[in-house]
Order: sequence, then structure tokens, then C-alpha cells
Amino acid sequence: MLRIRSLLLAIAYVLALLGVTPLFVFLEWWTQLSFGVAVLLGLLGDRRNRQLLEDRWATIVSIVVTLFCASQLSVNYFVEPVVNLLVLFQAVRLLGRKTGRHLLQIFLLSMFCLASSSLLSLSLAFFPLLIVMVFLVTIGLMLLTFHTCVPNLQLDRNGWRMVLWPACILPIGSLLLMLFFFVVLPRTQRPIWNFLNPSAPAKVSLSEEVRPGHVSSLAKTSELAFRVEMTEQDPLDLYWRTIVLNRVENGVWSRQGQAPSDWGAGRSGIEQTIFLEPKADQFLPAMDVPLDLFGYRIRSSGDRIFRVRYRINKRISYRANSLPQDILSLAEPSNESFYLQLPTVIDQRLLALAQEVRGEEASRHEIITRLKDYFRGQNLSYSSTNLPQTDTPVATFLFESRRGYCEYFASSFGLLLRLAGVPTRLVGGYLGGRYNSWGGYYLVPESAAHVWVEALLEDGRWQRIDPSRLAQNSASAVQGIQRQPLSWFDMLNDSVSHLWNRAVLNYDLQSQFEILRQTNRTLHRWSWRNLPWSLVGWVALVAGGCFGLAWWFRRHSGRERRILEQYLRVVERRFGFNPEGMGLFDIAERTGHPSCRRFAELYGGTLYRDRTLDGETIRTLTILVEELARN
Amino acid sequence: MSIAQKNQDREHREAIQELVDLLSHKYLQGKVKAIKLTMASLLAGGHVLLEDIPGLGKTTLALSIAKVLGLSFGRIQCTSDLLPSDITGLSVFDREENRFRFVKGPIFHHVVLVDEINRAMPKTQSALLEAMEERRVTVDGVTYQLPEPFMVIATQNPMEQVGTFPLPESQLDRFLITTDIGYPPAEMEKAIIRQGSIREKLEEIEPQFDGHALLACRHEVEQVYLGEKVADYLFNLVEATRSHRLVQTGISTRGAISLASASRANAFLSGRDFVIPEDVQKMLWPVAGHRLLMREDSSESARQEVLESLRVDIPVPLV
Repeated sequence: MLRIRSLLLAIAYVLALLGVTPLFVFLEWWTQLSFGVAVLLGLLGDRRNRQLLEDRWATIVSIVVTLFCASQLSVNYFVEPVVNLLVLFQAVRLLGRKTGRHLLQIFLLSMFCLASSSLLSLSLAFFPLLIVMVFLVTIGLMLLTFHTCVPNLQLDRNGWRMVLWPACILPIGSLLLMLFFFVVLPRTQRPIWNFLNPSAPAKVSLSEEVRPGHVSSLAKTSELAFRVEMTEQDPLDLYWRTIVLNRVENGVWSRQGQAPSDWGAGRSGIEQTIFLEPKADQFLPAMDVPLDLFGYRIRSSGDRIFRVRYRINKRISYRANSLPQDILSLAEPSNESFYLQLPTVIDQRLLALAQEVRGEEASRHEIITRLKDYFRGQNLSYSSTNLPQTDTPVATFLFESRRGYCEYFASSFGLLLRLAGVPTRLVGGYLGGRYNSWGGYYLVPESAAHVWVEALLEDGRWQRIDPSRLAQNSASAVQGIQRQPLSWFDMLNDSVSHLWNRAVLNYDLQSQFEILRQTNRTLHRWSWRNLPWSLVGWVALVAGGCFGLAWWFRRHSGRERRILEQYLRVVERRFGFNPEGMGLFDIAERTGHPSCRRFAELYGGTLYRDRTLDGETIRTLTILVEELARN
Repeated sequence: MSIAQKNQDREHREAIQELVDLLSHKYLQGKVKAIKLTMASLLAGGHVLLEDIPGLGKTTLALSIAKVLGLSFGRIQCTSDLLPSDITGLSVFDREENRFRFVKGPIFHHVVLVDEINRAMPKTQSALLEAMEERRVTVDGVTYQLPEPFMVIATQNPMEQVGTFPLPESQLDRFLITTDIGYPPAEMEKAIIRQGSIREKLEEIEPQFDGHALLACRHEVEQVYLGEKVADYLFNLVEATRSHRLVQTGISTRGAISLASASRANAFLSGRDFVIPEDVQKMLWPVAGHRLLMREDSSESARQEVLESLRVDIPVPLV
């Protein structure tokens, strides 16, 4: 025997904790402390059946807390004070009296807390918490109705079963409805209440400039840049082309918008679907060399760089089609000079080196080979820490320190090629990625940002050269991190959060239109032949199985009840008394009818001997009932 | 079980039913309920406590049942100076053989009528009840087995009278069934008044049965099937008495077992080899009534009300 009140209190505490859990890290320390203390004291108080905070004091504390939090409000600091206020209210409620009304307030506050946590973070944890909360709140509300009528009600096992069964059915129904409305109700392009949040600081990722020597150490973040759904590729082909830098001035490579067009064609290559995390710039990565990108408002420029017009402040996805070969060539050979522009100030040592590499009328291919040999001969090492900060980073890197990261390698190689008369550009992007074989996608972190070089050969074709691979330690330094396979836990974890992003967070008006369009298309092309027959077969099989099982179940478990109900109805109609609550033999004795006696013997004989009715008995019983009904 | 044995079983059952009919129609008119309950108790191997005023045929009932079943009959009239040895018997010195000889008391019979048990001293009551429970008597260190079948029919005057020692609850528990006899219906009573006492007629009764057949019947009663649903129902009834607000102590597990065996006997007497909820309902008051310990502030009639309300409230299993 369990008192309803005990369960209600337990539900209230669990709900309060569930609501605050996703918020907890965003709370001020004093809110965290007060909530923790309130939970503990509240539990202790309820255990001893004592009320810790008088109603009057609870009101006063609430007012003080409200005033305090209101004093912190400002246009830019809006969500946090409100969230803190909610949690403090909850703390006051946990300490105070807990009548039905107060319990209802706890339920409501916990739902508000969970809802407001979506203002601060939209992690996957929200979903299971929501489901648990829907269940608990429904059960709690149901129990509350009992509690209000009979405060000290105790229920035995049967009673609990009767109460909790519908209380569990209800939330299942509402969750299904929720799913339906999630898909169907029109969604906004952006979360409506984002206006409450100041936009998150733009994440500095891949820079739009290559400026070696600017920093002494390269900060490596392990934050995710994007995920790419595709088949697993040769790791040497995993160059994610994002931006092309075509202008060099004062040791800085940057992008000049009006670049001459490239021309390149290929048949369909490797299909990818790319899920880009929010970032500061507007360039879209795709596997090198992208043939085309498909998605919402994507523009491409002449040098096969793709970008969107708007800032990427939410996760977006698009499809891409790439060929991992050097397929680009300059559309107008006369535009070569664009890629030969040189900075105004050039170190003498570099000029001399370029002269040496160029030699006498060597082909561009030969120049590239010679330069590669020179780089190898210099014993350069790849390093991203403790780099000298100078005004002449390239010269320092090549002739003095001999240490640097990809920007040093690429910019020096690029500059030298230009000095030697080979049209060159720098390509920024990402290198490598870890494959999640469970989800079938690559994970590319921000730390995989990379810069390499494209040189134009005499036949007008762009050739990809990665100078970083010329470092003596390239094998371990350039691709070292990417080589480790993901652990199955990481894979599972990331697959789930990827699914969450895809199915829920990225589900917006555009996706809805996409579904609508697809449905429309499917309906237009509808014909019996297009039907996925195997799927239909499976569905029919499963549905048939369910139906058959239900039929069998009904026939074998429900038929006793059915024939009994029929019999009782007939008895009531014919003999004019309500047989409810009477035993079968009592009924037979009271009616004195031989058919009733026979029914009691047959039915009771089966039931009270713990047997099940066989077909023969059922038939006999049916005949008996029909006879009774007829006379 | 062989067919012959089955037939024999059926014969036994039918014979017992005939006996009940014979008794209730020929000799003990208007006492059907008491006869049936006494027979049930006999079949279930329990004892009966008849609570009624004198002169309603308690002795006649006991005597006729003993006679018709062909069992030996003993009678103990309880008084306040009745000693335990008056019941069990005692050792007397045999001068000829020069040793003590045990003279069996009236308890060494198949059917023993203990009249007005509440007049006996607690010490004597306790000796009697112990013999009922153990089915043996120990005198001077020697144990004597009581005959089988063995049944005590005790009577008790329900009205508070001077010089009585009411049986404590723990000893009431030894009786499987308590019942009253009640006045016969008016027409029947008039006929009885005209005919006079039937004591002499009892002498004519021919035994229709014997102890062995009765033991065989008992064995059959034990075989009567008590299904899961009926057991649940019985349990629900018993458990409900334990949490009833008017009851201080509900029915014990022994009480529940007693209810089950009495229900089996009732099913047997009704010609069934399985127990139905109605059997349990019918036996509820006779078996459980005297086992309920009521709260002090509730009246004596509340017992019956409690059991009746439980019978109505707890649903009979129908599916």
C-alpha cells in the first residue's frame, strides 16, 4: 500500500530536477547553490512532514528574488535573469507547503525551466527529458485529482494498476500527436525566440587571409567544422576545397573577387551531403574538386568557390558532386597574368632562389619539381608552435627557422612559383577527416583547416600541390591526428547527435517544402509500377501479422468474456433482475431454468477448473444463450 | 483413477447426498442447513459448534447423524465441576490383574456431543480442545489414539448466563464451523408438536454407512479441485477482513485453509468435483464468523454485517 501523496512528492522532486538539469550550467552560482540546498532541505522536511517555509515568508522571498532578478535585466541580458528567477521560484516552492495547488505550480515551473533551457542550448538531452517530463506530468496530474479529493488515499496493487495504466496511455498519445504536429505545423526559417538571445559570437575558423608570421602559435580547436555523408575515400584525396586566395601583398594572401573563370567538366563524381556547422564566413566546403553544389541560394564564382549570401549562423546542409582529379583549367589562357601578380617588396634571397629554380627556359612542370626538391633539401619541419614573428615570414621560414605550418609552406611555395613565372593560387580548406562508419559520414574538425597550392601548367590545367607534405615530418604532423580511427563510443555518440541535428534542429520551413515537393513529385509520377513492392509486401505482412494476432487474441482470450456478457444480458432481460455481482450458480438457482443451470455447469466447470473453453463448449454455450434469448 | 474407483466415488457421494436428504426429510425436519453444515464439517475433518438455545434439537441432530452413519456416539454434559478425566478417561487399579487399567472416557467415540461446553471450567475445556486438535489422549504417560473418523459437536448457549466460561478466541479457532439451528418453519413445528418428540424414532434408524466409507469420502473431498480463480477470490475475502475498519483481527491463514476445506466439502455435497465461489460464500459465515475478532466498540451483530458486506463488495470471478 503506497500513499498517493508519497508518489506525488517523488514526482514533484524528479520533475524539479529534470527541469533544472539542462539549465544548471548556465545558472549563477548562487542560484545553483540555493536550488541544491532547497532540494535537500525540502526532501528532509517532507520526510519529517514539516513545512520549512511559511506561506507568508515564501511570498516575501519570491518578491525579493523577483526584484533582484528584475534589476539585472537589460536588452542584451534578458534570458539569464529570467532563467535564474524560474529556478529560484522552484527552490522556494520546494521549501514551502505542498498542497495540490503548490504541486501543480512545481509541475508548471519545471516545464517552464525545460522550455527555457532551449533558449540557451538545443542539445539532444532536451528530447529524452521532454519525453520523461510529459510522462511524469501526466501521471502527476492524474494523481493530483485523486489527491485533491482524498488527501490520504492509499492504493493497493490493483488500484495502482487501474490509475497508472491510463496515466501512461495519455502521454503516449500526446507524444504521437506532438510528432505529427512537429512534421506538419509550419516552421519558421529561424527559431522564433532567437530574438531573445544575442547572436552567438562568430566562430573564427578558416580565415579569408593567409598571413604567416602573424601569430607565434596556432590554436587548435577540436570543434566540428562539418560532417559529410559519403562513402569512405582514399585519405590522400580528402582535400575539402573552400576558398581560393589569388592575391599576395605584404606577405598576406587574400581573395580578390573578380577572378578569371575556370573551366572544368566531368561526369558525375562522388556524391556528398555536407552538414555545415555555423561559422563566421560564407564559404561552403566540398571535396576537391567540386563539379557543382546543390542547395538553398548557393552562388559559385569562376574559380569554383561556392558561397551563400547570408551568414551561416545555423546548421545548413547541401549536396555536392566532386571528382578527385585535376580537372580545372583556365578558361581564357590570356588571363594567366592575374595569377602572376607579385608583391611590391620582395626579399632578395627569394628572388635569387626563384631565379635559380627557374633556370634556363625550364617547363613549369620542371620548375615545380625543382622547387619541391629544394623544399625537401631544406629539411623543413612542420610545426605550429613557437614560431618567430617577423616582417619577412617567408624568408625567415625558408632560410632561418625552417619551421612552420601549412600557411608558411603554401605561401612560400606559392610566392616562389609566381616569382619563377608559374601562375599560382592558394587554396584554403580542410584536410582529412575521421570516418564514422556507423553513420557513414566524415567528421571534419576546425583543426583540420589547411592551405595548399594550385599551379597552372602549360596546358592550362590547374595542378594541386600540397607543400606541407614536403616537410620532413609530414607523415606524422600533417595527417597524424586524422589517422586515428574513432572509438565506437564516439561514433555512436556523434551519430546520435548528427541524427538529432538532421531530423529536428535542421527541420525548418525549407525542409517542409522539400517534403511537400517530394510528395507532389511522387504523386505526379504515381503508377503501380513505381510502387516499392517489397516495402508494400513487408508492410502488408507486418500489418497482417498484427491483425491476425489481435484476432487470435480476441478470439482466444476475449471470447469467454463475450459469451458471458451475452449470457448476463439475456438473463437480465428474460428474468428481470440484475445478475451483476452474482455467481453463475446463484444465478442458475435464482432463475431455476435448466438452461441456466447447464450454462453454469459448463462455463463454471471450465473456469473454476482453470481450463480454457474449447470450441465444442463455446458452441454449446452459444446455443444455450440463444435458446434463452428466444424463449 | 480406475473407472471402478470412479464409480465407487460417485456412489459414495450419492450415498452421502441421500443420507442428507433422508435426515432432513424424515427425521430432522427443518434442519437442512445444520445437517448440511455438520456433514460438511464431518467430511472436512473438522468440529462443529452449535450455538443455540436449548430445546431446538441439537442432541437429536448429533445422535441421528451418528446413527445414520453407523458411528459410535458419546455424550458429555458439561458442568462447572466436570474434570478433564471425566472426558478423557482415567486409570483405575485392577485388583485381579494387580495393575492399572485405563478406562476410556466418553471422548473415545466417533461422534462426541459436548453439551453446553461453556459451562465447563477452562481447564476442562482446554483438555477437550486439545484432544480435538491432536486426536489423541495422553493419560499417565500413555498415548491413546482417538477413533477415526472423529468429530466433536459442541453446543453452547448463546445467552449470557451465570456460571459460564466463554471459550476464548484461540479455542474457538479449533471449530471448523459454528452454526445455529433455528426454529423450524411454522407448519413443520406444528407437525412436530402434534407428533411429539422423535427420540424414539431415532432408535429405528438403520446405519446406512460406515466409518471406512466416510474416510474414503474424506479422501475424495481432499481431491476436490480448488482453482486459481476461486483461490484468489477466497484470498481477497480473507484479506479484506484483515483491513476492515470494524475488525480488530481478521481471518488467519489457518482460517483461510479451513474456509477452503469447508468449501471443498460443500462442493462435494453439491455433487461437484470443483469448488465454485458460491461454495466459499456459503461457508464464509459458518467458518469465518467466529474467527473474526471485532473492535471493542462494534456490536456482535456487526460480524455478520461485515462478512455480508464483503461478500457483496468483492466481485465473484467470472472470467
